[in-house]
Amino acid sequence: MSIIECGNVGYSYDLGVTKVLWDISLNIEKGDIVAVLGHNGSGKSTLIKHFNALLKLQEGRITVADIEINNETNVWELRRRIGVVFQNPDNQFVASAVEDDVAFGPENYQVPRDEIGEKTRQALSRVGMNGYEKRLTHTLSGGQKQRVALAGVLAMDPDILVFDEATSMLDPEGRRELLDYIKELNEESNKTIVMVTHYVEECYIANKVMLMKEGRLLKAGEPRDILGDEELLLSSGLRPPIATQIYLELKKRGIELDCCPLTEEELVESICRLS
Amino acid sequence: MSIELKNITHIYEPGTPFEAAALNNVSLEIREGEKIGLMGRTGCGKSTLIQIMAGLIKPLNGNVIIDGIDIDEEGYDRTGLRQKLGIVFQYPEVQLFETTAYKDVAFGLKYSDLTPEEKDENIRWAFEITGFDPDKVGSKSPLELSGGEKRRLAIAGVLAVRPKYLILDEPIAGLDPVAREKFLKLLRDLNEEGMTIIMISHNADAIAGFADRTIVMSNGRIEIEGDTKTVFMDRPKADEAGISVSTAGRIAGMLRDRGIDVSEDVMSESELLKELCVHFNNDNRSEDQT
Ligand SMILES: Nc1ncnc2c1ncn2[C@@H]1O[C@H](COP(=O)(O)OP(=O)(O)OP(=O)(O)O)[C@@H](O)[C@H]1O
Ligand SMILES: Nc1ncnc2c1ncn2[C@@H]1O[C@H](COP(=O)(O)OP(=O)(O)OP(=O)(O)O)[C@@H](O)[C@H]1O
Ligand SMILES: [Mg+2]
Ligand SMILES: [Mg+2]
Repeated sequence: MSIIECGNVGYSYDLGVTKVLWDISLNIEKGDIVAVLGHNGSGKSTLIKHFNALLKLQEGRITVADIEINNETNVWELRRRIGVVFQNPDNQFVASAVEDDVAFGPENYQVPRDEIGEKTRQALSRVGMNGYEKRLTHTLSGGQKQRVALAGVLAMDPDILVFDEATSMLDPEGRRELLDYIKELNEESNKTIVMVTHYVEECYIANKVMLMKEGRLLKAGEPRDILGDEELLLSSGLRPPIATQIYLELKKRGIELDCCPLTEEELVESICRLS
Repeated sequence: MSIELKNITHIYEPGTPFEAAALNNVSLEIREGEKIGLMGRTGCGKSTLIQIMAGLIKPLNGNVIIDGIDIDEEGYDRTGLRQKLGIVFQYPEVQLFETTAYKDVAFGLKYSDLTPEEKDENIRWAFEITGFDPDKVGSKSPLELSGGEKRRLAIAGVLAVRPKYLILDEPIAGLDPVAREKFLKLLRDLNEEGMTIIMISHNADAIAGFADRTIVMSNGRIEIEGDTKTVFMDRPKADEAGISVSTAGRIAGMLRDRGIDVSEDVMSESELLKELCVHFNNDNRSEDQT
């Protein structure tokens, strides 16, 4: 059963003069981890802002967790089911102190007081930010802000989590931990994940990749089919993962590995097998 | 000509419950013409350091000396400093506040001595080298841009001034792979023309492809410093400071662990590729001989 369904979605910010989304149709199944790739300005954030009804649907139809998105959508109920972390955490913060910001979501949904404290603590420690409860969000470092914004959505515990470049300011350890945690949330709690990223390397945790170009969904499929397709990626302004690039370059030089690797580990394994 | 930091210590909101030590006795010299990479864990003090360097935060202790003059000296020409030292902040929204993209890029030139024509020329150049058509984007509101476009616009605004020193805080975050490549190439070109550039990034591949010298901070101190290759080759130290090394360097390390002979100092993809070609051709040759 699809948890997110889009049919022929189109969008324009200026009353139809320039369209930035064209005829987008897609299905995301419950339990999917979907990576959304695409050049700057290809429409990724615009698409995602439709999922939680931040933008008004102009063309086509969308259902999210069985909720039809239209003028009568119960946005309240919708946003309990789907949590979105946006590109810039400053736009996301609603309260000035860290703990109030993280507690804001659960409070609004009438979670009992004592549970809120517990959820807030858990979410903050999940992102390595315990000890910062009283700090004002605007005094955090860039990466700390991003961590707190993530905690805000984790505390809500929605069925669908959407990350719009939510790891862009994380250090390598933080990024790795978050990706591991996303995978864990998905495997253990069957959460559906949508992550927009410019790092093709992060697609290794995904079971589906969607590639956008100039407002259109160019291709959706298995990571291997998309990331291994050099021509497709180059024509969309992207690059294969470095491990894949090495494989492709070796091939051009007449050295053929036994499989097309997506990750560093896979590349190392296939080099060892050939050696 | 250089930027010199002498014994910089900084504590945010000292004496309050929010007191936070950010920098602890940091000294550093950046010479004209250098390409510097600045790395380190979240919260280690990178953004604080560069804001102090740019005279935007006054440190609790220590001196900032730019081209031989202490910027805290009485009568120091702050307006002049803004023209010679440009800074791109970690979140571009911070520096986009005008009603149109054109005005935003023009902002830094307000106090410059250039004629209006020269200013316009600089502005158009800045739009173009950051991948924009000024005639198309100039009249747009910065709020109407995508995340990566905002980033590029913020960069354009700083480049329009053609600063002598360029400081960039995570400039490639949000850029797509092609924009990233073009931007790093642009930085190398600007450096060739004499611009001194300091770039903060968590992305080791970007640092590897850009920086001559890399500084790694940890807990408000400089932990590692040296030419980029040497910094990345010392894996235990890099791990301890929480930075990753370039992807190619990491793959080379994994191969060495598996007994494959690749050189210690592989940092870029092309170096790795070369090593692998040698490895496989040698293999073939030894098979031929047997
Ligand atoms: N509020 C807005 N008003 C008008 N145009 C907008 C607005 N937001 C985005 N756009 C335009 O719509 C197009 C799609 O933008 P969107 O933010 O969806 O891109 P994106 O794929 O998320 O890009 P990025 O990778 O840079 O974040 C771009 O051309 C952008 O300039
Ligand atoms: N106004 C402030 N008040 C209190 N503490 C602050 C303030 N600004 C920064 N800090 C703290 O100082 C430390 C250094 O922050 P800084 O922004 O320099 O880190 P950074 O290395 O740039 O991190 P990141 O990679 O996350 O951007 C952090 O722990 C941060 O929380
Ligand atoms: Mg976006
Ligand atoms: Mg910072």
